[in-house]
Amino acid sequence: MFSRPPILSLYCLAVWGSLGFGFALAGELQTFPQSMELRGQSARHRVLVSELTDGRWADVTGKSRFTMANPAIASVDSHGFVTPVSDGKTRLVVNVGGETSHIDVVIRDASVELPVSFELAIQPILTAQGCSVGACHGKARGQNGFQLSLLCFDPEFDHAAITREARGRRISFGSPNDSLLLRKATGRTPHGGGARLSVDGHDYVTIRRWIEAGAPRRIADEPKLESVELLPNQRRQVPMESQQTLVLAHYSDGSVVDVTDRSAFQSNESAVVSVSDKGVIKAGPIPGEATIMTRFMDRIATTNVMIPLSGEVAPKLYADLPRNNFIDGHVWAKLKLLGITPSEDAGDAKFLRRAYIDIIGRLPTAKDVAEFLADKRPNKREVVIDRLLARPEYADHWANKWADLLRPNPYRVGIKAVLNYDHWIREQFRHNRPYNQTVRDLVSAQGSTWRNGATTLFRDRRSPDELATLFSQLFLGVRLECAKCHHHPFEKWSQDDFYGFAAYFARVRRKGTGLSPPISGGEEIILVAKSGSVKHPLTGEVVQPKPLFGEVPTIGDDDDPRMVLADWMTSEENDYFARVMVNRVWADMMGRGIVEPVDDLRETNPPSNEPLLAELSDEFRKNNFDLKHLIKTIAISRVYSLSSKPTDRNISDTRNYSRHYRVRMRAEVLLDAVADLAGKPFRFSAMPDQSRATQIWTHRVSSIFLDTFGRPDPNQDPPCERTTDSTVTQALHLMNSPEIHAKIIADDSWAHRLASSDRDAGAVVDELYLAIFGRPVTAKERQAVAAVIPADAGERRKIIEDLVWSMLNSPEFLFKD
Amino acid sequence: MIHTMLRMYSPAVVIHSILLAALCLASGIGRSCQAQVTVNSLFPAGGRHGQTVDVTLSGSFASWPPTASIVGDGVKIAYEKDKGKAKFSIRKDASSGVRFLRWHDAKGISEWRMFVVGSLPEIVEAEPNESPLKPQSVELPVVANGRLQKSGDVDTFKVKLAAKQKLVALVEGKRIGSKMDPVLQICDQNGFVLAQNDDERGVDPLLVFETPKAGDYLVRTFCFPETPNSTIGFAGGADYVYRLTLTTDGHVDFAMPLTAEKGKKTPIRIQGWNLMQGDAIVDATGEPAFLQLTAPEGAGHVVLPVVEAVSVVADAKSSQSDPQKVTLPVSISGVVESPGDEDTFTWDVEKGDRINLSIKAFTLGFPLDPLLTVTNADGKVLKEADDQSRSERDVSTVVVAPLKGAMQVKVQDVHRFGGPRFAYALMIEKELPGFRLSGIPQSLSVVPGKEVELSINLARTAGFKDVVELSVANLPPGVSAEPIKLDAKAKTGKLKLKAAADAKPFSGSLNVVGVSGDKRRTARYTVYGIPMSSVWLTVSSK
Repeated sequence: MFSRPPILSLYCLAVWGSLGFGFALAGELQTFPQSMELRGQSARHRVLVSELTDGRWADVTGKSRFTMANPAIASVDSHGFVTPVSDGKTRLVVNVGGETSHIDVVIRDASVELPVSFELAIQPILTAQGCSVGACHGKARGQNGFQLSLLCFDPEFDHAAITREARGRRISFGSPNDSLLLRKATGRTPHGGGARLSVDGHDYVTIRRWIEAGAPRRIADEPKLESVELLPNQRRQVPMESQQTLVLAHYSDGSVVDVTDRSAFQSNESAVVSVSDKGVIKAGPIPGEATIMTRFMDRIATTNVMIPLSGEVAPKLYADLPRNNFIDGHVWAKLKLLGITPSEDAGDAKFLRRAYIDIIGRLPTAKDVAEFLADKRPNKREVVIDRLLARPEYADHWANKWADLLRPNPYRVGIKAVLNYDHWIREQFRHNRPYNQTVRDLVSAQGSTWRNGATTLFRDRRSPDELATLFSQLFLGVRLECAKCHHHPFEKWSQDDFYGFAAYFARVRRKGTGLSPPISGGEEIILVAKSGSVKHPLTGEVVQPKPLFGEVPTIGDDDDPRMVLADWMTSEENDYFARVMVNRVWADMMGRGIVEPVDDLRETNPPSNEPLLAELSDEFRKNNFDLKHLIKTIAISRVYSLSSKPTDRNISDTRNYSRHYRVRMRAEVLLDAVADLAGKPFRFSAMPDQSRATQIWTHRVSSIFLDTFGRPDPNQDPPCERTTDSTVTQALHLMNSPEIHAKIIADDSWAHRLASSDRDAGAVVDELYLAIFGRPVTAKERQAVAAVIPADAGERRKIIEDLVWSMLNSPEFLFKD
Repeated sequence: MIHTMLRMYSPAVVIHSILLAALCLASGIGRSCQAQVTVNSLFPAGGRHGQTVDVTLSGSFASWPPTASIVGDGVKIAYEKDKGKAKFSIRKDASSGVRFLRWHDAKGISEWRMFVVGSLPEIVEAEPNESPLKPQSVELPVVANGRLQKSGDVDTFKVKLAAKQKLVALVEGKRIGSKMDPVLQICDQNGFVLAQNDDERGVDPLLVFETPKAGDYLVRTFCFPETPNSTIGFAGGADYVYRLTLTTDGHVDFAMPLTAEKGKKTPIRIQGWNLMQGDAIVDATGEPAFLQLTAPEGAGHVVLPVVEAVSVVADAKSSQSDPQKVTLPVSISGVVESPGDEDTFTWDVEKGDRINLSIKAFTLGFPLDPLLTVTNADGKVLKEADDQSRSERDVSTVVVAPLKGAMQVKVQDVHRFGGPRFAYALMIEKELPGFRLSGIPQSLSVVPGKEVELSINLARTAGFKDVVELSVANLPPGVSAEPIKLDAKAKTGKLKLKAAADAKPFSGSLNVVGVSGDKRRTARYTVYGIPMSSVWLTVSSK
């Protein structure tokens, strides 16, 4: 079966828990590495030293004193760099304030200049010096006629470019020092990139030695780079603290080389923790966490850094927190590590409004709120969640979210094809089809775009590479786009991976009427041809279908390769599939994904709470990919019902769910809420009367309101992820829209009905607050607002209309809190 | 052989045959006028046995009333004083099914229009009914005659249903000649969609909906134009006429076999919904062009083309290793019953035989997208045939036998789909030397002293090279057409109809005939899939 991808085992709270707590005494030293073997005259290795201080490990390399037990074997400088002297074994002694530790050192071939490998020595120099980056010779057309593969992922290409292209003038075997490659690199010949090497530097010498040896593509018994390790692999730091890192390359012959100077570094949260190009991690001034990524050649490694909030929190506080289900346990555990405490429960009224908006995309009525508040049953929250999940609005609301991701522009694929695709999406939610079956049907869709709406995806995305990019991102959270042209710089995906994945779509055939924008109204039929292939753009060879990881399933002659791919995508062993979906749903309900962006699962972009994501996806899978079950699981957790009001111990938290993150209502939900409260629906073209905005089948149905509040541009290709930003235009539209104003003041409006009812001013205010804000009015508010409602019928109506208008323009209405 | 009825619809299925040649001239007198009559639509487009229906003819009428030609029995038209208004009286014993009508005056003739006679109660929609808050309540079963009268129009009907009832809801729009592409929805009483269909029988929708609980349900329809455009909106207009059938009782869908054998009585089995399955015998001894049949008190009707071939039903168990043996010419009716299912047939050929294979499924309103794989006696694939053209999903192909022995054809869905409605009619025949005539217009007009050209397409089969003489039959006095001879290379012929200077005004049918030795063929065109041969000639006054 499949091997578990490394991303899944990366980030474990159990590991976090062991970082400096409970296993080491204060003053204890930790060295990286614990032993080393240096081979060849030019070898060099850095040492890092950490000391256990205040219950955590701190970098004390700069304060350490280094002594080599036998200086005739190896030498060490004051910074901890070890170099060979002669063959043999010795020991490096580290002393920090009287505490000592030691590192075993083995030296081999100390007097030998080892052959220089193009792949293992020259290419890393070109990468580290920035020669092969996208802004320089690594870009598609190279720079000034000299092109290298991006980040040197293609040794054959690069070797040819250096040694054979331009009639071989970049290399001078007769006078290596006069090679154009070295003259340019040192600035002796004008070079747009400036002087990158010094003539007496280690890199210069290495390249010159390689040229002197005949610039070979390979050397005898050349090992392969197998992996890269970034040390230390976990760290808790205090604000503004620094930590040097060490990057070790592991080769197929068992050798390990310090490649820190040849590696590139990047932080996923630079504001919290930054990293220099020399590999020095520096904590920022605020608590939080970040993942530091390093790349050496085509390998990457990461380490995680956490900056807990200073100050003590009694463990009992966390132990006493309510646990409605596993979600709470995982969130509380993470908060405890960070020293963050959760906010209070938001209360029944806010919970109800939140659940209504999240599950069915509409507000509770005043009656719904009043009944819920009066309900004394202890399980009333679960009861209301079940009731909401059974309502028809559920399907339209969730389908509306997925429409952003799937539904194309009707001017590109045709109106009828989009209507049918929209219907297909809604059917999945109406019947609560297991998510794996939905995806399987979409990936392997066949038939007419006028009958099986799912086929419209294949009308829109017409080539295997387009399909590979879309499916991998949407349903696996893997962004393969970069790997189409070059090895993904921050991931493990190669061009081979990309085209192997794309090859599953090589036999998709189309018949009928193709695209002819801007109408494209014809019917197209998607089917599976008996043959079809994808070729590798570099080698021109036919690429066989291959999943991104795991064993390659066999494809029978009569099989639709897409079905085989769907089997692999939805199999239990493929963690990506469930993880990206639970992450999306979690983000929808909680205001932020455990991974952000929600469809970018990669080692260098780890989840903020791995155990939570893992158990959510396990739960999803164990329950037959039942979306309603997943939504209910999230909604009944205590975490879901936390207040958005911050405490002094969680105010800076934006990713660990210590409080609810307020989000502006989606455009459609907001418009429907305005219509419901005005008492009069909006009328949309191409929709039956009384239709809700969540039921609109294309973003091309015109609505200034929806466009203003972030509905995707209909010309934009899916998938479209929405932003929930609030803008001045939105505020101005709400305030000035003649359409909204007309609805509020219409004779059959809700405001008019309230005004003409026999309720007294206080009762009217009660109703306004329950319906618009979803909560009872406070005594102070009631008194103040009721006082402005006059008895005179005409004035009473105007004031109530003004109140409705004002309340619809307030943040308390606009936001899901 | 007569099968016993499986369910309630014994003892017999009501069957009526319609002779295409039987042309009934209804009331109205032709007279000279300034412009040719046009009829774009009839509303309502049908009625019930014994009913007199107030019908609006949408079109232009320089003179009123025009004269109607009706193909089919039992419908009589009385014209009102107001232009475009008429009463269609349907006899109680009229057959169920489609009537083809067209109207002529002294200047010319309109296109064919359809009027459907059925057995269910019929109503005419009453606007406003676009809102789920104000639907039109209807009692089941019913045929609602509706018109999406303007852009954006939606028609909504409310029905009361018990739990676990199977509601058959279907819209006939394009099928009855409307220029619309309708969509059908079943909603709860608040307008939330429970089921939706766009295309099932061609572009016309069909839903078979089992009610989850008792209560009121809404059925609504709206449409896009027949020719897709880029308007984000529903289409409508005076000619967007449809018939919406709603029933929880029986509804005929199709009959097996799908064709009747010319000159024979053929046992058939009715397929449909809500207990609609039964056996009967259809009589094609009178050699009609097609038959129409329905069931008493059931909705829907079926059209059975009459073919000059043995009509057989496919054996569901046939396979490539054990194919069903047939003798040519044969018309095979079958159903690809489940996903992955395939039917295989075999017959004997001589080396060099040209075998015509023609399958119809999609054009008959079934969802099957047929793929034919023809193999030789040694299993070698001779041809794999999919769509006939970009817009024609059914298949018609010719295969030449390279060897004497058995030839085989496998029928399957191109997607390997299947189901109870994946029916097909496969015609296999040895192509014999001969010819076919096509491409003629439905109507012509000429003024005295002038001539008009009549173009005919000639298709030769199996190497037939003899001269074909084309002539016009049933010409009125004063109009002549010299026969022409087409040699082996000619693919079209042009007959010239000359009206003498003193030719009298005339309105009537003529036929184009081709003769070569003992072979005689009449040129044809099709109207909504039905073959027609009469060309309407108008000799108008100068």
